[in-house]
Amino acid sequence: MNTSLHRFTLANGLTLLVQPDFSTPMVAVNLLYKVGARDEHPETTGLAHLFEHLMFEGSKHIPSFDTPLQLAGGTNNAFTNNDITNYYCLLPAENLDTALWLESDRMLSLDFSQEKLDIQKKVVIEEFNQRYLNQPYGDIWLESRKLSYKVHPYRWPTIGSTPEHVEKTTLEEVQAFYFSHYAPNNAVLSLVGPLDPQECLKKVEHWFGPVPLRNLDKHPYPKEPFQKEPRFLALERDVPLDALWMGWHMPERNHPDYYALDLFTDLCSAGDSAWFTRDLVRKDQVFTGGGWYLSGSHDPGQLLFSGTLRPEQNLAEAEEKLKAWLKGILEKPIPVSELNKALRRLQTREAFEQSSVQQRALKLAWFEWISRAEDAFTEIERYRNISAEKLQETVMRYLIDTHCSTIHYKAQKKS
Amino acid sequence: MSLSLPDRRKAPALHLASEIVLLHGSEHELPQGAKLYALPGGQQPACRLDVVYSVGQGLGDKPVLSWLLSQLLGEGTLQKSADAWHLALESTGAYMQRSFSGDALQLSFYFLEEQWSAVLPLVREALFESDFPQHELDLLVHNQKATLAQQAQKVAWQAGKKAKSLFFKGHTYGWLLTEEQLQGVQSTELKDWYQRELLALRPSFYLSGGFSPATLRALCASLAEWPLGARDAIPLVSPGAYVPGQHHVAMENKSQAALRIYSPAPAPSAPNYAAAHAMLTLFGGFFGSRLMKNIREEKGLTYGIGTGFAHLRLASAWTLATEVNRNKLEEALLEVKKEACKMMELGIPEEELQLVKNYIAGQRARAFDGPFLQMDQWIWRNHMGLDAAWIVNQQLDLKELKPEDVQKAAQKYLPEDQWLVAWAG
Repeated sequence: MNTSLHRFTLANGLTLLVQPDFSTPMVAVNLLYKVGARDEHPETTGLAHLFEHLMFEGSKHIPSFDTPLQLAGGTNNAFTNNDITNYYCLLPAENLDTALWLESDRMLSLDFSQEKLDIQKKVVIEEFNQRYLNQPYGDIWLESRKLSYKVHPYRWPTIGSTPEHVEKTTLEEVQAFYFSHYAPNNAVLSLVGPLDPQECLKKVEHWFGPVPLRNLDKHPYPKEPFQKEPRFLALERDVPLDALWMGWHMPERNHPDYYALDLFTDLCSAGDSAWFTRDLVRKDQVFTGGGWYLSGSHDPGQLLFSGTLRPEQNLAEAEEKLKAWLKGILEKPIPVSELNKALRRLQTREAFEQSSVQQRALKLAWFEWISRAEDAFTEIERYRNISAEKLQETVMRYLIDTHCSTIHYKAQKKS
Repeated sequence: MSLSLPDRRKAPALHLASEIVLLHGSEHELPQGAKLYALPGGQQPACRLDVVYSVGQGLGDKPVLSWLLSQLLGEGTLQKSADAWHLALESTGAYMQRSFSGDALQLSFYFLEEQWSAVLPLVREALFESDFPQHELDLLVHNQKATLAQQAQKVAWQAGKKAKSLFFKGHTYGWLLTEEQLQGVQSTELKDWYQRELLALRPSFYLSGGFSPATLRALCASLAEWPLGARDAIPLVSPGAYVPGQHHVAMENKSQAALRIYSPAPAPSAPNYAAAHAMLTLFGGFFGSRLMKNIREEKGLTYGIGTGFAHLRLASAWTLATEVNRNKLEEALLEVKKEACKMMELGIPEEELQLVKNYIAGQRARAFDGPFLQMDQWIWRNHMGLDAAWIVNQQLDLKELKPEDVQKAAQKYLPEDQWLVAWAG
């Protein structure tokens, strides 16, 4: 693993990470802003994501973000989640300056206009439709957040609570959001490629140095109260099969228990020999498929399960069978061979991930935000340090009924 | 530290994307006549072994059997149950992906180099000793029906299915799995198909990633012992003519409609391929394309619209895909037609062509970054019958392109009367 890393902090607070890698002619430029859907007001949700769209609509000195990057042979995109908004470019390393010029200018100031906002609102509403409202099971991700969180801003999804929230966003709200969250002192810039760290620092100083630090709208996020009883929601939709969704509260991404829970979800559904797939899809044939995963959020998140049922099963029974199965696997000691299998798979996955400069740049920025970038290099050790007993004990502490929210997503009977 | 303020109105000097640096690969002919292609590279001990049969949907006259076979290799062998085979493979940290297309059946194994000697016997077992137990077939059929039922509710899937099946009507390239085809298939039929068709074929092997020369030598020695078939591929007949036109799949209660277009395109070996590639990229192939600018960025009608090539060994098409509000479909289609007309009639400004040239050069550089991406390209070139010189020639052709070449390509490939349009919603 390439563990070289150079860290600099500019006077305006921007953190710069550089990882030289001379095996590639490309450079990955990743700019992580520490702002996401959790920074929105409950009445104006979807703003962080809508804002991500506006970031491509031209900045103070540059009318188009994409054209100069495409001229430089580059590509770019971005994503927003509940915690962060992340922008990335991949381009030939000779043209690094182009990416820095573009990113620094849109950090300096955007070219706001009502017309651009109106168009992007339409685009985002179509995205809302395409991803969530016009897809079978799409709204489960909207409903599950409302059920699981009552206070914390994770209770709404990144796309927004409803298309109406997106529709009513004003130019003033957009501008205020920008100046209170988009700032060098709220960002991590990571560069991976055939780079000289000192040269990079010079370039980054040149382009980003003059961007002023800003007063950030940082406030404590409301803490989600401890869930004391199970929550339940029944939905009926025009879908072909019933589906079961369950979410258990778990700690934040930086908590030591994260790694045991992550290993557990891998053991349940990563690969064809995983326990859930083996037992409830293949052997007992309760589900046609399903998955276990972690939300991996900065603040306390969720351990999640979702699966579609075989037509002959019903939701209440399938839920009981799932719970009985869970109890069964957690009562018995976890075989060391299974733990080793999951660790080897992680190691393989890590080796393939390391082959991508873009993925590495994102990972470094992400770790710098949640702890420190160097922790990206030792993550596998944290998984290795978990014993079978520790894994079992940890999972049992979190997978309890009173921490759980459940959705029965029933297929409407056709008349 | 004093800072000289940058001139933000002036773009930094541009350097043309680096020439593609091909990693040093090697070809090895096995005693059975099959080929092993090896491409070492990267800094990680991560390796990928691709086993490719140069046949996909075209394997015989029953594509459903070919598809089932591609999904069931390793799902129960003469030595192991499916569970035991998966456990053995995954205990090494390896994982597998299956792909099945018009021209190829491919199994890809991802593993760490240190595990290769444990992985290889399992690959061999899956390829040559698969047993297709009836209960595994039943499980696959059942779960696939569930997937199909879910897909059937998606406007994108319905429109894509309609367009593809009509464009390649009557040919295996237009084949799509349906619930009815899965009905009643028996394990015995599959076993017979496997023995008769697949085992008679000679696969190709592709190893890429961080492996040593010793591993490569040992792999060659192992593969030399495998009972490979002698037939390279089953000859296919080119698809017949399609009938341009518009088709609608009615779907109730959908807030969006999906639009798909299929239309003929040149093969990658055609002399005007670089021009057609630039033309299609400019039309809808990247974020700065005319369709994205018009339909998304100016009118806000869609979250995304894109065009691309669908290349098969014996046919090539360009395709268009988008989802729009159901009340805006006609407007979106009209704009697509207008943009096509503009490209055909008004030509392409030099400045815009330069943008596309640079974008494609960068796209190529990214597509060749590292051993795994380069191996993907190598596999694709072998399918299409293209040698390494093709890459160099494409680069040269791209540099030489003139606006009139792109306009000619637009005039040849964009006329609306060639389109097969399907929409669902």
